[in-house]
Order: sequence, then C-alpha cells, then structure tokens
Amino acid sequence: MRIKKVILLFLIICFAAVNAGCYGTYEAERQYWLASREYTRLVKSINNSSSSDEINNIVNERAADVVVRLRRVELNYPLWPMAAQAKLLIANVYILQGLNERAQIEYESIIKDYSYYEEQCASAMIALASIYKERGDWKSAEEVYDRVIDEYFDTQIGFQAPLLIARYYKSRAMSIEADKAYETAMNLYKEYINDNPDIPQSAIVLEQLVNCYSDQEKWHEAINYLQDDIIKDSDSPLALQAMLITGTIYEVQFNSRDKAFEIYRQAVEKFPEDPMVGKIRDRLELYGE
Amino acid sequence: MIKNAFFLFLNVIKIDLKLLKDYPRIFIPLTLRALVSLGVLCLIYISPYYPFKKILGPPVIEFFGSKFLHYPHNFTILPIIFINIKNFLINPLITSIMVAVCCGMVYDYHNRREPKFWRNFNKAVRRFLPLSLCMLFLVSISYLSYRMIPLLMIKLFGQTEIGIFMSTFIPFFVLIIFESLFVFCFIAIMTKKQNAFKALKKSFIFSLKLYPVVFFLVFLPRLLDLLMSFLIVFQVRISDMFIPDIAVLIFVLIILIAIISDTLVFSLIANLYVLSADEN
Repeated sequence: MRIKKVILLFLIICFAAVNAGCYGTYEAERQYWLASREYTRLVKSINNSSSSDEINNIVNERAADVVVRLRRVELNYPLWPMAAQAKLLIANVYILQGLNERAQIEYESIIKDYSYYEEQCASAMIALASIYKERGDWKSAEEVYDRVIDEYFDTQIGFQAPLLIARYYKSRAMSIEADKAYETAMNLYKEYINDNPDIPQSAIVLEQLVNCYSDQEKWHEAINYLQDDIIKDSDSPLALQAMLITGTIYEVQFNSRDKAFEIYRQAVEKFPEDPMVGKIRDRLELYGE
Repeated sequence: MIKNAFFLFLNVIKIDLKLLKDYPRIFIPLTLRALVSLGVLCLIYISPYYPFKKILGPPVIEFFGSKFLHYPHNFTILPIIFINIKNFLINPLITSIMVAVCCGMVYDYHNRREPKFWRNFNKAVRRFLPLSLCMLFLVSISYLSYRMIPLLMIKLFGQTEIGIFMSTFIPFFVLIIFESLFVFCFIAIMTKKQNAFKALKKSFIFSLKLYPVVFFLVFLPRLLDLLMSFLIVFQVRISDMFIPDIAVLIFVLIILIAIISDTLVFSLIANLYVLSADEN
C-alpha cells in the first residue's frame, strides 16, 4: 500500500510540474516552431510541384491549416517578438493563396502594431511594396521603399530597399532613373560601410553594393573600390570578404584564374584561422597551389 | 555437456517465469528505479519552462549554452543529459540497490521465505558501497564501449546504414560479454556479504563455469534494450517525422522497457546462481 501511495504521489507531482510550466515564452517558441515548420513544408511542396493544378491543390488543402496554426501563436502570445513573425508568415500564405488584399491588411497591421520589431517591419514593408508594384502602383511602392530607407535601413531586409528601387527602373529600361537610383544606392551603402566597418551587418551591405556593381556590369570599378577602400591596410573580416569577392570577379568575369588564386593565397596568408578561408584553402590545394 | 547446459537454461527460464507470475512484486524494485528515472526525465523536460528555468536553466547554460534552453534545441541535449545522469547518478545510487533487492527477493523465494521488498531493501542499503562500486564498474565498461566502439565503426564503415547498425550492435554485444562475466556480483554481495572486488572475482569465476548459459540468459532480455537503442539512434529522424517532443516519449518507453529487461536479467541470474549453488 505504501508503495502504491508513493507511485500515485509521484505521478501527481510530475503532472502538476509539467502543467505548471505550459505557459510562457518556451511554449510560445514551441507553438511558433511547429507552425513555421508547417509553413516551410507548404512552401517546399509548392516549390517541388510541377504543375499549377498541383500547386492549387496543395494550397487549397494545407494553407488554411497553416494560417490557423500561425494565428494561434499571434493571438496567444501577442507581445512576443515571434507574434509579428507569425503574422508575416500568415501574410505570405495569403499571397500564396492569391489573397493579396488580405496579405496587405496583415502587412499594414505589422507596420502599425509592431513598429518596434524592426526586422519584421522592414520585411512587411518590402512585401507591401511588392504588392503595390504588382498592381502597377509604383508611386506607393516607392514611398514605402523610401520609408524603409528612412526608418529601417539598418536591418537585414531593409538594406535591400535602395537596390530594389534601382532594379525596378532597370527592369523598365528607364536608364536615366536607374543610373540615378544605383548611384544613390551605392552612396548609401558606401556611407554605411565607411561608418560601420567592423559590424557584421556591413557584410550584408557589401553584398548589396557588389550587386549594384554587378547589375551595371562595372566590374573594374567594383575591384577598385574593394581593393582601395576595403582591403588596403585592413585586417577586418570585411577585408577578407572583399578579397574573396575580388577573387571571384577575376575568376568568373575575367577568366583570370592566376590572378584570382593570387588573391586567394593572400587571403589565406592574411587570415589563416578564419573559417571562411577553409574552403578556399582546400581549392588551392586541389589545384596544387 | 551442451545438452545439460541447454536443460539448465530452459529450467532457469521456466522457474523464473513461474516466480514472476506468482510474485509480480519482484518487479517493484526496478519499477521504483523507473519512477526515479521518469522524475529526472521530467525535470530535464521542464527545465526550459518558467519558473523551473530559474533553477534548472543555469547548469544547462553553463555546460551547453543558452541556445539549449530553447525549443527545439533542448531536445538535442536531452538524451545526452539523461543518459549521463542515468549512468553516473541513478545507476550507482539507485539501480545498484534495486538490482540487489530484486536478487535478494529471488533468493528469499528459493529459501522458502516470503520475498519481501523492505527486508531486502534494508539489507541492500547496508551493503550500499560494494553494490555501488560494482555498478560503477559495469557502467564504466558500458560507457567506454558506447564511446569508443561507435567511433571505430563509423571510421570503418562511414555514416552508412551498416555503420550506424554496427556502431549500435557491436557496443551492445561487447557490453553483454562483460555483463555476463560480472553480473553475479550483486547476488554474491547480498548473500555472502562480500566486498566489491571479491564479489567481482567470484562472479567472474562462477560465470566462466556456465558461460554460454549465463550469456544467453543476459542476452535474450537485453534484446529489448537493443531495440530501444535503435530508437535513440533514429530519434532525430523520428522527431523530424512527428514533433521534437517525441524524444521524451522515446525515453519514457526506454525506461518502461528497462523495468522488464532488467528484472528479467537479474531474476534469471539470481535463479541460476541459487540453482547452480544447490547443484554444487
């Protein structure tokens, strides 16, 4: 009898302990992770589909369930950062369903209600601008992009805004506006790198800057900028990234493997411990360098 | 000789099954061990939840990093934490005593005494040190074989299906070989009041005389544990198919299955010990 009581007491304690902890951020994380996994699976299935009928079937069957799961996170944990992220994913599902108006409402709500979560707001704004662009309302789209540059430039998604403006003009063959937009974008990126050379975000900005050069096929200018302004007399991680980009430009755009390998060798010598150098070292060894 | 060994093997199984049927209370010691294990598992599982995070979180952060208090990363370290606690805390402190109680109850049955839990528990607690040392010895062998052999197997076969199978099966097999040699130490301590070293030596000598019988009596119930080991190996895949929380269910199943496998191993061995001692 005594043992039975011990077992019963133990089970009650375990049940109470597990249930007592079913609230709070961990449970929020759990619900968000499970919901976002369903979202990822939905997107993966759509990407693997071959026909539009198949895509429609997948969306019709699974999108509503994904929205419900994500909405639960948003409603149960409204003050938690991932609530904004859940809302963002809900809007993305609406886009997949072709419900652009609903998606727009979600994006606007994120911008209004979660303005303190910069990454999510920047993502919502960029997506909102895409909806305007798709509708042919470039004026509204440009206003949103400008707002991103003003308010959320210093975010992973926000860095894209200047480049996206320039790319819009380029895609419309509006060369004068495109040139001007690229110049504005490049100045913004250069200014950011100049002011913050040692922070990790500069690596993302450098990529966007190289994309600007690449779009305009200004390869020599790109190399000059990378070598004179970033690599020269610097041993920051950004200099290593710039060296690897320079090497790639020589290898891919100018078919100059010798020059590229010379730069890679310099990178390996200058940053022997950096994990980014590992693959380059393997490649050099493969070619007997 | 082989025929005799086979009859002895069948006889021990027959007696053991009858004993367990007549006295299911022999399952109590290892059920209590299972409850302690479930409690520990429960504590590890709830460690990322508030308010438990306040007390249980700091050690996790210290040893593994704060990432592992977040979903679903906490499930990647759950097996590591649980297996280490089981090996180095639960086994020497609890399992050693409970295994001895189980053996003592079987011994009582053969001596025409009612197999009583508390009497044997008191006896086992008084012999805690040698029991615990013997258990630590077996745990060390298990730890080494599960640490070293998988590395060797993966080196030989790579991360292939065969490599994964061999790195689970070979350590299991090595462990059974050693366990069969030293498994009598617990009943030797309970019946002869021997110290750890003498008990291990006696077990080794005793086991060698009947090695094939002992080996199979240990091997058969331990097949259940082998099945469970494969569940641990494929835990990541199973979690991907369902949800990461399933890791907890896998360990609950392992703990519950261990009640049956451990009780069978130690009651069979105690039966064999008593029967062979009688014959001698």
